[in-house]
Amino acid sequence: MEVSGYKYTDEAEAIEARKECADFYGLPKTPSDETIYWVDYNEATEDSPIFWYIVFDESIQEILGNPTSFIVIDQPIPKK
Amino acid sequence: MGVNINTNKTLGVAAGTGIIAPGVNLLLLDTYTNSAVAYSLRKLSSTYSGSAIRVRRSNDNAEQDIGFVNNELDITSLTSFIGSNDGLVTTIYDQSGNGNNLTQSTAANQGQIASSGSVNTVNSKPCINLSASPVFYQSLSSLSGNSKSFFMTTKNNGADSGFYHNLFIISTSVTVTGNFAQLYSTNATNTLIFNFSTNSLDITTSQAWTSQTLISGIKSATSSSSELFKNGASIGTGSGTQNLQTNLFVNRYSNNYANQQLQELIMFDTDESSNRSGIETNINDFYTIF
Repeated sequence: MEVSGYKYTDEAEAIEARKECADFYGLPKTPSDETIYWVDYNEATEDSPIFWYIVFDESIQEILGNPTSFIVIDQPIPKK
Repeated sequence: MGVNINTNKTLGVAAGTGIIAPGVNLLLLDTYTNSAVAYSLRKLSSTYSGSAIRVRRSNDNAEQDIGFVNNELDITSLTSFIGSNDGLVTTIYDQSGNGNNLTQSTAANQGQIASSGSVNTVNSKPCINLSASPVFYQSLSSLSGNSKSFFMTTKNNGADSGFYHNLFIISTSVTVTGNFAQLYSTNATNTLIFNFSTNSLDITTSQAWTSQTLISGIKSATSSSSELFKNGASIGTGSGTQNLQTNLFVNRYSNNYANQQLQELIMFDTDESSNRSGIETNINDFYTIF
């Protein structure tokens, strides 16, 4: 599938991008809150080499910049 | 010690759970005990003292637990908290007593209980809108054993996403299946599938779930069988044996999500065939589905 978002070849970069978004929105708001991230990253496990990506949302454009489009190979339905 | 029964379904003694005070409403889990997980926007157990959900409001990301009033979701507290903003669900608390909450710690992946101050409903009862945007929840290490009975009140809420709606999956992780069991649909108008890693247990139906639907399923290790029900009626059977994983994911497997309006999901680690009808009646008495 075609994804609009932010692609990372190193998981540490995806983790840092996730943190930038959480920090921008002040998450977690209090230590007891469940919400600790604004967006999360995904792992493109079917691709070779594996990469990591964050799906675009308007709310993170100011933080991560303009998104790019790239293809992620879908994980097949289990067994079928 | 007397037994006090009236038409409002109150008892002085609850079967299998010991004594409860006379006049206390008998709730689903008071009668049908030993659930593994129990998520609902109504109160399911008279001994459960926690909240129904934890909600994040969209304007400032503050969170608050929302409980019950008269055994239903406390709408007044919810709308007072969110004002004219959206309400997003961070946690669906487990009412089974096992503490296996469904959680989502990422804001972008949280389902919506209210939009612009208005509580989402199906058939006049509150629901959580889970979308393919994507929204999902997980409860890790919450299940055990190789039998499973589930009771899910839900309704499709929009177009298919990707190539299948994953209503829930019991699996190793959100991307690795192991010995899985899943409920999915490739088209809400004509497919509902109870699906396992063992082919002979699979149940593939042409049933719709485009209106409010009670979907029940039983995978029995003792009778080596599976059966799927829609609104109390059997819609398919399977046979075979298979172990099951312990992690529950609601609304996601890999990049596949469902568009659904969830109101209730209860699971037992046991074959509840003998109680199925009673459980479904309790659910239907509340939601008036069929």
